Amino acid sequence: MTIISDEVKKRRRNSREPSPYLFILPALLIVGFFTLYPFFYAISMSLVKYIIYEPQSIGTFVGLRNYEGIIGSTYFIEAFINTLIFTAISVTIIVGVALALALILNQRLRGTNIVKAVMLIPWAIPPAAAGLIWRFMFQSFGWINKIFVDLGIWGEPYYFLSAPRSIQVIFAVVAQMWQQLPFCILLILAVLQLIPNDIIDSSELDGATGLLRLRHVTLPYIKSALAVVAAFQAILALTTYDMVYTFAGGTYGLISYYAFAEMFQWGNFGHGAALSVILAITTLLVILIILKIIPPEKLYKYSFTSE
Amino acid sequence: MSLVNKRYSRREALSTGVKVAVGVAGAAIVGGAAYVMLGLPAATPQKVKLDFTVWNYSVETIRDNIQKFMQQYPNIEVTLYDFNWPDYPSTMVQRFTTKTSTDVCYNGEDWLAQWAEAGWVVPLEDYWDKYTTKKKFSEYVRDMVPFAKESMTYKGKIYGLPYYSDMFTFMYNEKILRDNGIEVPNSWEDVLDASLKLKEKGIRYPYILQYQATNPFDFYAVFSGAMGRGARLFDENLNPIFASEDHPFYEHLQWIVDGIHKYKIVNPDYLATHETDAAKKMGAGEGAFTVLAKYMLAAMNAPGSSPNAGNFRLALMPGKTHEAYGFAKMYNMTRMCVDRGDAAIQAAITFIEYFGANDSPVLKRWAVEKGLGFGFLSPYDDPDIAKSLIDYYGSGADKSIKEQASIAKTIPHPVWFGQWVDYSIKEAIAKAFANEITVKEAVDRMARRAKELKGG
Repeated sequence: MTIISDEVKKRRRNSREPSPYLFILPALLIVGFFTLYPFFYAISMSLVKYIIYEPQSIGTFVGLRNYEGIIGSTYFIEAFINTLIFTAISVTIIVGVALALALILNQRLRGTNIVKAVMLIPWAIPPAAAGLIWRFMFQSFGWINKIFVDLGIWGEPYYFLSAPRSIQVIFAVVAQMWQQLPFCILLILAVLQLIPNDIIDSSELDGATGLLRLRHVTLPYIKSALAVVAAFQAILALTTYDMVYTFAGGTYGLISYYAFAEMFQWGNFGHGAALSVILAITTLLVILIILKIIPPEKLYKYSFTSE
Repeated sequence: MSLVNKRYSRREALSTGVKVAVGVAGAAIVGGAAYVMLGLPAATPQKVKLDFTVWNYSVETIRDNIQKFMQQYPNIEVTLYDFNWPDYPSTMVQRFTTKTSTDVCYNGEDWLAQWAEAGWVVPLEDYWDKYTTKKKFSEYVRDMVPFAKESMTYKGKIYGLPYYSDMFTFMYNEKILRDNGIEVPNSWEDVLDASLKLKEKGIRYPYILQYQATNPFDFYAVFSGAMGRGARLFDENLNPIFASEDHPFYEHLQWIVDGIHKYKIVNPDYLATHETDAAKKMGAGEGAFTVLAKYMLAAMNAPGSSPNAGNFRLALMPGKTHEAYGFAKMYNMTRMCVDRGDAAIQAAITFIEYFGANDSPVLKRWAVEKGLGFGFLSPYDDPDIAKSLIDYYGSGADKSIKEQASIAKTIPHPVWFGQWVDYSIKEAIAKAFANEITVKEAVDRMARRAKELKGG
């Protein structure tokens, strides 16, 4: 149905009415000041020499030399790969577990409301505290070891925090998962409850139960919501700093920590800014990929019409 | 009203302004002269404000010391800012780069070069004798423990007075050794032999290693052991010299790796072991030997702190030379303070002298109440301090500490040292300890990194 006539559209295009721009001006100013200005400032800083212990050369334009320096440095490849691994594992596990738990909670079993309320507690805990909590849990005297040793499953405590770092990343994912699951479950659960009952009923009449219904009815319906959750988790994992810092003291060498160390521990703000820009571009790429899979207009349509 | 409504010409306004200004100036001159001639009390001089930054060790004691200082010097008002110890250097970098007011700060030997090159802190010796002080700067310098003086020196200039000075020392549980007929180890081979014997007697991990890679101290807890074998990291041109298999640093790292994986005498949760955890393990009798900052010995021997309190002793670092790593943390004056002018500099110097002099009540308080080490020689002769050394560290400690201090050394800390240590503890050594790479690979990587950083 055509709601707006072509004439009206044409009139709007030719209009020189400034009011629409005035209406969005406050929002533009806020976004510009708090988002665009720091981003472009970081870009400009990444193009100059800024080493705190060489004050006489601060501000000298060096082009892309900070990027060359950082990409060729000892840490970069490992930190970049670590970040991607951490992101891939946490997104996969968090989305998978959140989906499974949301499906269980959607069964409207007795006590699910209490579970939903209790489940929110980890989400209310700051990430830095979450990292510390799990650090204590994984220590040789933490309760994980205590339970397994007391039950006789392990002869002696397992030293999680001294394991090779590739394995420790998985432990850090557990902490990340604990913190992020409530939000993801609630989001998926909300969408699950939007699936019309008549579709479920008709699928049952057609003989689609259990896994068959999950695959052919539920998943296609919540696909967009899963993409949103995955995108959100990917952004969080790529940029996470506080949780991993308190959990492992930055020893995993994620890019976010590397940028902080370059700036505030080693005094090279040019390198730190270059790393921040690389991280921002990586995050933007991930968002673009996800938006490519689920176009924004589809997300919009989905959100407002449940179609 | 007419006054409000009256319009003034520019000429009239200017004329009125000048008259008012002359009137105010005249009144001030006449009033001031009257004060002087009639002997009336002078107006109270304005307070000089100082911003002082510290890491948060015993903040209540620091606050109390500041209160006492301000009672003695009522014209100086000190505001304290305390930060978490592991985050202190990065917090200060943020503070300095954003030009947040800081006049006096704690500084460490490991950051001094960077902060000095950045122009954030100034050599105290360049200002001291130009201002009113109790003693000349050279008098303090003459009394400094050599490694403490070196720790506070950059490019030939002394930047501070010591807040405290300490060493990473070898400690043992005297009772465990006596009960098992074991002599105090003289070499690292002795430590291994003794540990293996103790392991047979049921002590699972006799050597407790602190190696929590977030703690800037952890590198020194390892390196000090290597210094006992005579290790140096760099030559006089700061070229790395430790990458060969017969170098004491390599040997010591290999000793630890073997201790963790081959002999299983070292606690495998070293990465989760902060110095306080190490002290707890020792206190619980889980270990017999460790290398920690000396002040931890005081904590371990504090009455009631553990079932083994009072049993811990300090011995010379095992190895051929028995050297250990010594260092000093210091009070620095900042460039920002200097830029504020003479009054601020005078206030900062008065404050630093009150807190950091060799006869300072603050130094004595730290030593007597907390068992902290000091960067001067003369306090060893203070009877209260000598008694506290024995009270805190155990009988004979006054002699053993002095003996270790006399041969302890510091190492050069160029601007890139922090970055190199960070890489070393978080990457190379951590991987070697976890058996992810060999010790040879670790030292090669560390040497390569040092060359890269030195080359700029």
